[in-house]
Amino acid sequence: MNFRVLRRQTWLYLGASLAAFWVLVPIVFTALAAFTPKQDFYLWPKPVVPRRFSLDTMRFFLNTHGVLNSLLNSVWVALMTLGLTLGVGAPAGYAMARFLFRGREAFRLGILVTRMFPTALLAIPITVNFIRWGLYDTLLGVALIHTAMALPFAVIITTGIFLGVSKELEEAAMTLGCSRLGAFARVALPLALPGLAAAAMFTFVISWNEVFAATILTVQNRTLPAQVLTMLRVSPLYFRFAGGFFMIMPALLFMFFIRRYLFHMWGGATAER
Amino acid sequence: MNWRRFLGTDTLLPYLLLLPTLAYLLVFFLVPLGNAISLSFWGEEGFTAQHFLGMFQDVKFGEAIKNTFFLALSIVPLQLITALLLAMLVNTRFRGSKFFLYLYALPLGISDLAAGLVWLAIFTQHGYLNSILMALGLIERPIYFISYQNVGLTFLTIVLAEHWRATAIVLVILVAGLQMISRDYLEAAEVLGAKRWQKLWYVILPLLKPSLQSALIIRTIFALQMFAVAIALGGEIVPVLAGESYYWYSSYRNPHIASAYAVLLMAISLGMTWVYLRFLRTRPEVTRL
Amino acid sequence: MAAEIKLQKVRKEFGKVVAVRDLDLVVRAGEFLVLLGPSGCGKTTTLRCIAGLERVNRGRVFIAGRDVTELPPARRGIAMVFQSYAVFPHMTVAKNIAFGLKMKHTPKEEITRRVQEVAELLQIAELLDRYPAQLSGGQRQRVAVARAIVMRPEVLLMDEPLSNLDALLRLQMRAELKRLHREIGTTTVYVTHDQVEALSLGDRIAVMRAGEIVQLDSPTQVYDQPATLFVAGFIGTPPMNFLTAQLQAREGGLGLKIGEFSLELPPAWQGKLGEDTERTLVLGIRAENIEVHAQPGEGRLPAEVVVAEPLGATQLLTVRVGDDILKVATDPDLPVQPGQRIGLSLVPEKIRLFDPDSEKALA
Ligand SMILES: Nc1ncnc2c1ncn2[C@@H]1O[C@H](COP(=O)(O)OP(=O)(O)OP(=O)(O)O)[C@@H](O)[C@H]1O
Ligand SMILES: [Mg+2]
Repeated sequence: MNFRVLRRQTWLYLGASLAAFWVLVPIVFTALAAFTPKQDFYLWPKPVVPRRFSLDTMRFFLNTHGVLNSLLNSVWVALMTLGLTLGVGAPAGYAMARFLFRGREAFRLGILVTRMFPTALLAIPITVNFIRWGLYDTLLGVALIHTAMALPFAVIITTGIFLGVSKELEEAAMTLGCSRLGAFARVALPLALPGLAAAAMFTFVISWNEVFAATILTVQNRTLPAQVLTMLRVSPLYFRFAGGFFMIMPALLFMFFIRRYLFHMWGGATAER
Repeated sequence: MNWRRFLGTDTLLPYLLLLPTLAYLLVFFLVPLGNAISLSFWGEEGFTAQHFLGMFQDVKFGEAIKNTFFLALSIVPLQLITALLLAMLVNTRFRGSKFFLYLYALPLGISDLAAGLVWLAIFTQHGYLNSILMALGLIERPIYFISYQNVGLTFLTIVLAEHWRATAIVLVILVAGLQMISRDYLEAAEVLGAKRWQKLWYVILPLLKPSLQSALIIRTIFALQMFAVAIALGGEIVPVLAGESYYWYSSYRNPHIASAYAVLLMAISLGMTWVYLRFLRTRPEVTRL
Repeated sequence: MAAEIKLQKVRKEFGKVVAVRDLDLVVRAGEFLVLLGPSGCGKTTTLRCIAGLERVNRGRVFIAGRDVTELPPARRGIAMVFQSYAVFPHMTVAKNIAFGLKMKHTPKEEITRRVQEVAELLQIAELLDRYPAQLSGGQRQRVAVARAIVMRPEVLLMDEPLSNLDALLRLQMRAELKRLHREIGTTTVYVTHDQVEALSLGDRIAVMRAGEIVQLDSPTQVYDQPATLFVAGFIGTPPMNFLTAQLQAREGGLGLKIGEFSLELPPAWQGKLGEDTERTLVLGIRAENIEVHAQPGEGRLPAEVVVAEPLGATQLLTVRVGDDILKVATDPDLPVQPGQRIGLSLVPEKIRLFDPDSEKALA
């Protein structure tokens, strides 16, 4: 390896590591904060690595009235959102990937436009409606609105996923004795499954992270972000740090699982068709 | 014609498959859009501009609109540049580049509220940054990054937090775009004698334009809507439009003015998108959002 | 088990594009019929209409006398080999081959037996436990064929099954497909745009152009007696040569005039060229029916060499006669230079004549 290549490599890795540092350090800090004993937060200067690790802060956070409940609520809402979103959106994604039909382009554009809607614009009137429909302050209500927000993504992502499964495979199955539905179930679905799982996790994360709608739509049945947001002004700092940590961890985990699909999904999302 | 055969035809099936989504979008996008507009324009005795007037007269309105614009204007270009640099870096495909790419994509899963809290741990008065600066002997007293006395600094912390959280999405879009650029073009350019920056300027960037455009639009729209980061970090020090909408609804129980804010946000989003589409023209068939 | 296929005025449109234009076609039971034509002429679409993968806009499709126009692919008694093979990547070779039988609820033992049988027939028995990703292109191709013929279909449809193989493998598989058809005798419709494949495989060849069949004949007929200028220009390497010629009536028969050069037509043409014996025609003749002489001379059509390409066994010359360009084959040892003037003699019996307006062959 000659000197120039070596120097180039050094710069590459230096730059890459620097960026990695920038991404990771705040996450590390949050983790540290979450396991720092409560009283350490009042030390000055605060030791960056806590003098001893303790579950104090976490315990306090989880034992705070409403938090554990909101955690469960968040999981439920995210699961419902996931089911609703894929149930409604995946067929549309399939249609977009498989058929050329009149209005296809208009539909695609419509989907893209919906992504321009500010959450506030949806959440406020829907909340007003939900009060009338008896869906106010229910988990289903939150899931419904989260579905609305995740649906455009789901359609775009599943379109990409089904485009990745060759149409000829399904046709082959059809010539071998399958009905259209059978061909889908036996060939397209198994092959799309990993991608669909990634889409599902992505949907889960969207719901898990959403705070605006969840907050204005609930009073008793808060989700975790809603709970933390509404308690911000009245909670001690360590409560907030623990909250941050709790919200981040599952999301990071999911991102790790779907990492290989991210680019595929966005590649499909930005690719033509 | 029996109905199964009929449903099996390619003419009807796609519409059937789209139906649930269309219905859903109708109920949860079109109807709320109409409702929001009527909420913001309708009063006791019919059409009224009173809610919008209320919004304009809101003491925070001027600040909120200014902050929203400045935040978007400072965050988005910064993100685009960072993401482009990182995307180019990763695209050199050095050993381990995949690992770094996944690392950089991690914040994609982090919510704005959580990101705000993460950075709060760093920037708060007795937070990590002050502690480290102190330990290094660089300061004697903690710096108040977040305070009414130092709105500029507070603003900066929000920019940093948002940049940290949301650059990942731009990166992912750009990397996906770069991956679609065939290596042949670059090699062709190289054979024709293009230097590295010439390849970037004359080959990569033009081909990446659709991706850049979509990243720009998506990021701008979401940056305009950003509010939880601002609230988590700065409380009400740096008010933004979406935050005002939230306060008007949840604290002051006024859905009309809250809707007025939302409608204004939507209008700004549409306006910005139009500007981008207009002035960053790509051929229509390669425009992607 | 072989069935007749009949297409009656089949029409398929994609928006404004008419992919198949009111096509009539009968494929005889047990026949190996090749659909041949340039890219985009509607071969695949025709095949897919037979398979039921495309719904026809008009017309009817019959298989074994049964109207299958409204039936889904599964109920047409067909099997198909796709250009991309479409071998299911999530199933082993054995599962792939067994798939169709399983759909028909064939008893387990019979499935195992038949899968083994075809696997041996196609020499992939030792690959049965592998996944498609672990196979080469040629092996995948065999799996695709095995998966189709294990069904013992009444009709076997193949869409350019060899086009993704390298040249050598293609040659080998071509012979194998021929053997296979002899052994199982299924009615086969085979799409290709490779005329060598078509000539070697087909019992008959249907040459297509712009959604229509322009000629349906045996390979020799298609080669020797192309029905139109298009067919003549499409088939053969190199394709048929064309010369502008003037028809002339002479005492004792008909003659042609090519520039200053005169040519006597064999008496067989007598009375076959209609009343008007003083018109312009297109003369078609294949390279192998032109003899090349290094010198122009008496009774030889004068020509000028443009390019000389040695091809090993032969030498391919591109020559100019008047405004027409011809490809002729010669002995590789014949010493010719570009620009050299040479003489050609045409074998009169092998001449084809075409009407320049209708582009149809005469007689
Ligand atoms: N699904 C489709 N949608 C729109 N147009 C189509 C579709 N399938 C085929 N066509 C058009 O129909 C015509 C015939 O296509 P077809 O695929 O049958 O050609 P082909 O003869 O098989 O060509 P090739 O040798 O390239 O495979 C072409 O003009 C093609 O563009
Ligand atoms: Mg084809």
